[in-house]
Amino acid sequence: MIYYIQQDDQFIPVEIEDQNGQLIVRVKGQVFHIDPRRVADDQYSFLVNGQSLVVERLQAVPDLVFRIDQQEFAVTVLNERQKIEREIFGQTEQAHGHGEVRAPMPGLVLRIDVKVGDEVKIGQPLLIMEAMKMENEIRAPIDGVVKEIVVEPHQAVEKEDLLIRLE
Amino acid sequence: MKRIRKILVANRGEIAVRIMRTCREMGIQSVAVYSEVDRLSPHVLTADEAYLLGPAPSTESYLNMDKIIEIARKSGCDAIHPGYGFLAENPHFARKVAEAGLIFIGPRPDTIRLMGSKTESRKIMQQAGVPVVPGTTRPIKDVAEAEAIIDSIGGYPVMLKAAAGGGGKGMRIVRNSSELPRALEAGRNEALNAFGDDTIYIEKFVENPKHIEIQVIADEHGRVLHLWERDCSIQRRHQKVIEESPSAVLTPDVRQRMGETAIQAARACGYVNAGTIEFLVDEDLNFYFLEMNTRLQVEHPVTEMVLGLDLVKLQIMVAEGQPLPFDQQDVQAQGHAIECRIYAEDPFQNFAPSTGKIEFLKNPEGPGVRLDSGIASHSEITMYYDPLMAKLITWGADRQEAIARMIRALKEYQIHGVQTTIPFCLAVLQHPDFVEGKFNTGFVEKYWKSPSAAAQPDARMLAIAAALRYFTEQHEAYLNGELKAASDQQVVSAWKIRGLKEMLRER
Repeated sequence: MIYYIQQDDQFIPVEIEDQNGQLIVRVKGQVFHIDPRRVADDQYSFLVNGQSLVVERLQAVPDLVFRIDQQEFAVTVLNERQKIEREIFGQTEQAHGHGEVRAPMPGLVLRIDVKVGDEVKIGQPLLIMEAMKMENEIRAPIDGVVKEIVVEPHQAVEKEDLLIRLE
Repeated sequence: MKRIRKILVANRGEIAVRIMRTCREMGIQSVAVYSEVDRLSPHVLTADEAYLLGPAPSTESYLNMDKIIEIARKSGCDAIHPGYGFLAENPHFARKVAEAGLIFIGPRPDTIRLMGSKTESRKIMQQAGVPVVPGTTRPIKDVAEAEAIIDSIGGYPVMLKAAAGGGGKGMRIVRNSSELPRALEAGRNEALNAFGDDTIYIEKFVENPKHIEIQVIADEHGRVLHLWERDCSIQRRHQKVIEESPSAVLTPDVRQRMGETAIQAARACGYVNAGTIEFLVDEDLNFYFLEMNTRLQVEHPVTEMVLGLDLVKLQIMVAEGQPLPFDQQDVQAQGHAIECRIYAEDPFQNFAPSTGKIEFLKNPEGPGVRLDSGIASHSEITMYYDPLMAKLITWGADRQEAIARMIRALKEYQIHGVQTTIPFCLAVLQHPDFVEGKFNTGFVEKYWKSPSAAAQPDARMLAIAAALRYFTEQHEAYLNGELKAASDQQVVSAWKIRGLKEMLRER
C-alpha cells in the first residue's frame, strides 16, 4: 500500500508493507517497524521500532490530526486517487476566505458595532459576543469594507457560524 | 455548639464533589442539587441524596435561592455549603439561609456584603492600615468623572473593575483616553450580566505584577490564622490557570509580613471561616491589597497539599462553632504544590470556550498526584456553566519535583471531545521563565501570542500518520464486513463477521 503525505505542494510517498498485522513503513529513506493496536475508540498503542507510543486520533483522514504526549500533529495522508485529485484541482476543500468573520465559539451576539458599507481596519471591533458569561470582542481580520452582516443582536450562534463578510 | 449532620452543597462540578468527599469522611450526609442537564453529573452520583432544581440556565437552577433553601429544609439538612461562584458570595443568600434556621458554611452575611463591595472593602482596608493600590472607591458615573479620577491618580494605564466583581468579570485595562468610553460600557454590561450590578470603579494599573494571595481562617472565638500564600500569577483574561504554594520569589521577611497583614485585614472586617486576601506584588516585592474573597477558593488544594490540612473540614468545624484545633506556629508548609486548571477552552484560539461531549477520558495517576474532577466519560460540556472541568494538583519535595510531576501527570491526562488548557499548561511549565520563577500576570500576553497547536512532523511522525490511516481503514473494513477471506472467494457468513468483530473489540 502506498500513501502520499502532502506538505505544501509536495507529495511524499510512504510505503506500507503488512506482515500479518505488523507494519513495515518506508518513508524518506527510513524504515519503521510498527505494531499497531486499538485500545479504544480513537485510542491506539503503537510500538514504533520498540518505542511505546499512545496515539490519540483527533480528526480522521485525509487531514489527519493526532496527538502523542499532548503534542498535536496535523498530517494530510492521501491515497493514490486523492493525490491525483489534489494534483489536478489543488486543495479539495477551499479554505475559508479571509474576509469571512466566523464565530470563534458558540454564544450569543450582543451588539453589532458596524453596518454594511463601513470601512474597517484590521483589529477593529466588529461585534460583541457573549459566551460562558464573558463578553468577547470579535475583531476585523483584515482591512476592508463590510459587505454583509449575517447575524443580528440577541441571535444565538454556533462555533464557526458566519457572522460578517468583509471585502 | 451545633452539630452538623447533613449538608446541602449548592453547587455543581468539581467543587461540589470535593466538598461531598469531605462530608463523607466526616460521617456527614451530603445533598446534591442539580439542573435538568446535570442529572448524570459526577456531583449527583457522588451525593447521598439529590434533588432537581430546574432548567439548565443557572438563573433557573443553581441561582434559585428559595428553591435551594426549600430543598435543604425538606431533606433535613443542618447546613448549606455554597462552594465558589454561583451564590457563594451573595449576602442575601447567606442571610436567607440563616433566616431559614440553617447554617451557612462561610462568613457572616455582613462580611460578605462589605468585602463583596470592592469600594467599601478598600475603605476598610485603608482604615486598618493595609496597603492598597492607588485609586478611587467611588462608583463611576460617566466618562468625564472617570477622566478626572484618572488624572488624580497619575494617569494611564488604569484598571476598570466591577464593584460587585470577581473572577475577572467586568474588568478592563485602559491604556489611553480613546479606549475609555468603550471599556466603561463593556465593563458595565458584563458586570450587570454577571452580578446584577453595573457599578464600576477605577484603580491604577500596576504593570506586570505578581498575584499572590494569603489564605486565612478564623473561628468564632477570635482566633485568626493565616495559612501562607499561593502564587496565582499565570492568568489568561484575568482568570487564574496555574497556582502554586509557596511562591518562588517571596523572601521569608515579605512572606511573614504578608501573612500578618492578611490577619490584620481579616480582623478589620470581623472575619469568620475561610477566606482569601489577594495582593498585587510589584517587582520590588511591595504588596497591595486587591480584594478579599469570602469563600473557599478554586485553588485551595495547593494550600491543603503543602500544609496537610483539609480546608473544607476546617470550614465545617468553624461553622459548628468549634475552635480551630491548632495555632499559628503549628502551620508549617512542607514541600511544594502546583495546580493546573483544566478548562474546556481552546488555548490556540484565544482560549475560546469549547463545548462538546467527553468521548474518552483517562485520568492521571501515581505519586504526588491529586485530581479534583467534575467530569466523567460521556459528560456533556455545555455553554451554561463555567468551563472549568477539573483541577490537577501535584505535590513534590521541592518546586522542581512538583513541576516534573505535573508535566508527567499532564501527559497522562487524555480528554477527547473538547479542547483543553492541557497543552497550554505544559508549555508554561516547561518555559524557562516559569522554571526560574521569573513570571508575572503578563506571562500569557508575552509568551502566548500566536501559538500553534501542531508541531512539524519528522519522518517518524509521517510513518505513524500513514500507519494510522492504514490501520484504522483496515479496522473499519473489518467492522463493515467488507473484507472477504482473501484466499478463497466464498462469501463470509454473518457468524464469521461477528467473530471478527468480537476479536477486534478485544484487542
